[in-house]
Amino acid sequence: MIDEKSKTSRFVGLFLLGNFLFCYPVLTLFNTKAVFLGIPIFFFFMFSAWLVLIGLMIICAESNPKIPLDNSKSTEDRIDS
Amino acid sequence: MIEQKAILLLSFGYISLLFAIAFYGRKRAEIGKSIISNPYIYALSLAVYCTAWTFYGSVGAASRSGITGFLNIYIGPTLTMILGFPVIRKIIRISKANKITSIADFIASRYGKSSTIAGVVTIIAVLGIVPYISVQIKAISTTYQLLSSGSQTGSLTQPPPMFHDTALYVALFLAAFAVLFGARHLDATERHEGLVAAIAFESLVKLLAFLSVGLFVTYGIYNGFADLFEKSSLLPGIKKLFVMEMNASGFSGWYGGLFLSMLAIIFLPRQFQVIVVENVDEKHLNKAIWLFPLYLLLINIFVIPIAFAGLLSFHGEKVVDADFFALMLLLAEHHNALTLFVFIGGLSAATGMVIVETIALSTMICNDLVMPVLFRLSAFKLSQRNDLSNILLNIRRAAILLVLILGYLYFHFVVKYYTLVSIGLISFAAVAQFAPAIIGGIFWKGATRAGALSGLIAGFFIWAYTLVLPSLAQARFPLESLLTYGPFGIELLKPQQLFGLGANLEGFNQYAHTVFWSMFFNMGLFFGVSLFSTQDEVEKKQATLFVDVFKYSVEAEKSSFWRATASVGELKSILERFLGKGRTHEALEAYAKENHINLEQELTADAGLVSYTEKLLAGAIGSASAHAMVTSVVQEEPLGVHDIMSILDETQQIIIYSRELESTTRDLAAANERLKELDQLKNEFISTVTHELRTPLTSVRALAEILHSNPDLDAGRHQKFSGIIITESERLSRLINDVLNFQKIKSGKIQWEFSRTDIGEIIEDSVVSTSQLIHDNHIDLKLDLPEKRVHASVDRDRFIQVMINLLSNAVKFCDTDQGRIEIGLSREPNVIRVYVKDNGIGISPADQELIFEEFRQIKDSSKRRPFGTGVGLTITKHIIEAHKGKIWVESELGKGAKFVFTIPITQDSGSS
Repeated sequence: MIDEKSKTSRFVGLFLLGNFLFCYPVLTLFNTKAVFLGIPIFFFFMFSAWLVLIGLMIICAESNPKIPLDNSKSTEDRIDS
Repeated sequence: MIEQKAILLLSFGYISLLFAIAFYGRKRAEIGKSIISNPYIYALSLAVYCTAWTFYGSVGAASRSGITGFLNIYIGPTLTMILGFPVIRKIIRISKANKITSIADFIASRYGKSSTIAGVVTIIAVLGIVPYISVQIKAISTTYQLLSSGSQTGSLTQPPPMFHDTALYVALFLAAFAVLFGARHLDATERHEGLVAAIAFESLVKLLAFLSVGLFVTYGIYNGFADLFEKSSLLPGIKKLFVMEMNASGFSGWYGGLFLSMLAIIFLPRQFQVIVVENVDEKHLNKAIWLFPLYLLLINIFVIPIAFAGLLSFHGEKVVDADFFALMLLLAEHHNALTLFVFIGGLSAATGMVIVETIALSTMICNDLVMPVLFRLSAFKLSQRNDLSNILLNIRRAAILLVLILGYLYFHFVVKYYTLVSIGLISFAAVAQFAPAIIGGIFWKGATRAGALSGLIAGFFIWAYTLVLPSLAQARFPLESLLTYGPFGIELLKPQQLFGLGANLEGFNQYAHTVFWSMFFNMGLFFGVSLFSTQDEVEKKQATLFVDVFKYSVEAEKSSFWRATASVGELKSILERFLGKGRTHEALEAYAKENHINLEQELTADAGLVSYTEKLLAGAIGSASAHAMVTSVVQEEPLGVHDIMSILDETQQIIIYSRELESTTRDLAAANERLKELDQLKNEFISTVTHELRTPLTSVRALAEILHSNPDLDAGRHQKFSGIIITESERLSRLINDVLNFQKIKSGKIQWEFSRTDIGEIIEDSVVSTSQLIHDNHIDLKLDLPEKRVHASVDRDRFIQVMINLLSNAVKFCDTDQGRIEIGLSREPNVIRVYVKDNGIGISPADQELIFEEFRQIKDSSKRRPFGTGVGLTITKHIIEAHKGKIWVESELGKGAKFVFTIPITQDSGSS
């Protein structure tokens, strides 16, 4: 669906998001001794933010620029025939 | 406590299994069925990042400072992997195009294949990694002692004499292991398929081992996470670890670790080796960039539970080292099988790191440190020896041993007083010094060798001064006064408070302190010196090839940078010395085959072969050494800036040429299409003409036969038949005239006879000659001629032909029932204007241009093919144009057509 440039842009955006999630001010927001589902909230936040980041990476990485490539191929075929 | 024999037996059994996997991997690679060529094995091999530091050290760090004490080391790589697509992929692409074999090779190659840079990078890498190696030695020897004695002995007391120290034997064992694994024979490519397979397996083992102990502790000893955290919260000492420390130390520690690990994940020599050098296919990166972070997340889930469980079980026992809580907990539970599995997991983590790291470092030491020196030592006469591959191999083996001995010595004197994580971070800070030279080098063409070199040296010096020196001092080296009062009593230069920046004392983490100052000087000098120094030609070329790798990648493969000549024999003998006879023969054969030359007959090698030789050599001895080697036999013609530019221009040119070629091809294709179309039209023309000729001819013949065989035909019918014969033959001759005229006009052979003529009279004449036709079709003709005579200089006969053509054309398309044709003539200031208007089917706007083209006939699927040859209007147009006039048609479908032409009035024409 996307070309190389916009794929790069997505990753750069994700990188910025990652830096934001683990920056000091955001960490202090969750810096509490309270527990959620029996797990201290700070730990819970760390791992879930990390997991979300990995999930977004999967989405970005697996969105290969395959479709336009296939399209151009089929157009060529049409021209040939 | 477990018997020593059992531990040793299991360890050797496990190592043998690794060898088997490596052997299998190699064999499969040799037959072309690589088992490592998939993104999953690639991602697992990246997990060589997780060493004993991760396996044991994280737990210790977590039990001291909670989650922020260790998790940054794994979040950093995750962030870097996000940039895998733009950054790591670029590094891989560059390395493949330039046959890069190590990180030193990479930096040296970027900065003009400089052997100085390669040497400096190697020294930094070796000295920087030594502490890291010692971490692994410590982990293996400590866990071995733990298992065999059931408690930690000698770790915090006086070190035992060297030859009774388990750690020394561990180091020697690791050295032997690494030599067997990575330096048994010489590869031209420096890729180790078997090794990668074994490393990936080790990554799997350590992950499973850690998850097992984590599950056992969380669900076996306690009742899940909630239970464990609830019990932990009862102890204030543990409860305070639920959150991070809100002070400068916590802040700088978090960011320091995050920053260092972000860089270390690519710039540690072993990481560079597995990510870049051992990469089989660039596409594997796409999956690995998220698989690897997922691995990191998995291996970290149980760190906190194990740490808290350890704290709960052993709180108050000073002897216990928190780094080894995992094993201690299992030993306390007397769970021997799991204990051994976890020990093997730790062994995997440590050996994986040591093997890859020492192989990477030994390659660098050999290629970038020892070889260049040996070449310069004329006494050694290296350049005259015949087979160097054995020497190369022995240098590498010695290098592996050296690195491990250095690691042991650092362990022996320093590491015992440190935790695993704090020592590991020293190494991270060292390799971070490569970042400006590499990241700057692949994105900024202006980065120069001088800039990179000064940045590297400054950064390394700051690192050694602010981080290594204090660590030595704490290990009872007599450096106390230096640390307390600064060198020569200058307080501003105190290693841990450089220029007054507080380290430790004011809560500023010492790693952050080092990172800040080393990066400040490293980057400052890198950019500053680069801006004020110039690049030589080789540098310029390399800079362009690196920065624009996605543009030049293919060209770089073939780029013959050498404008030089050398004898084939000499090049061959160099190759034989480093690669051996067999491989040299194979490689040259391949080259000769690809380029269709016979190397047996060639005496002098062209630039392409020289370049090829250099690339082959670079695979074996690094690009800097290869460059030096080849230079020694090649009579290189000096290469000026212009040559470099022309090399780059050439590639540019190729791109431009190919674009031109494309457009020419397109033109040709279009012309070809046009020719085909014309050919088609011509065929149609011929069949039309034949048809048109045959129809009147048939009727002429038929009527003539009737007249001939019936002499007694009555006069009326006789008259009628002969009349038809006359009109049909007129039509025939008109057709033939058309074709002949067309031929004449097209070939330009026509003779024009211009004379002053009355245009009105011509129109009247032509109406007379077509009157029969008009009459036959029941057409109402209207003439609109001015009263004043209008004269122009025209070719009378041709002009009549124009009018007849237009008239018969109008008749042809006229309304069949109520045909009406109108002819008009008017005189305008500069031109004479004539029109012929019909009320026929009309012409669509699209066809209005086409009808003047040769052989064109407007086709109307609903109606029969119009008769005529299709050249009439073309002839008309040519004649009008020969009179410097213009002809066009005004029409709409269904509303008739109006053909209009104008011809200029010449000086001698006009009204009279």
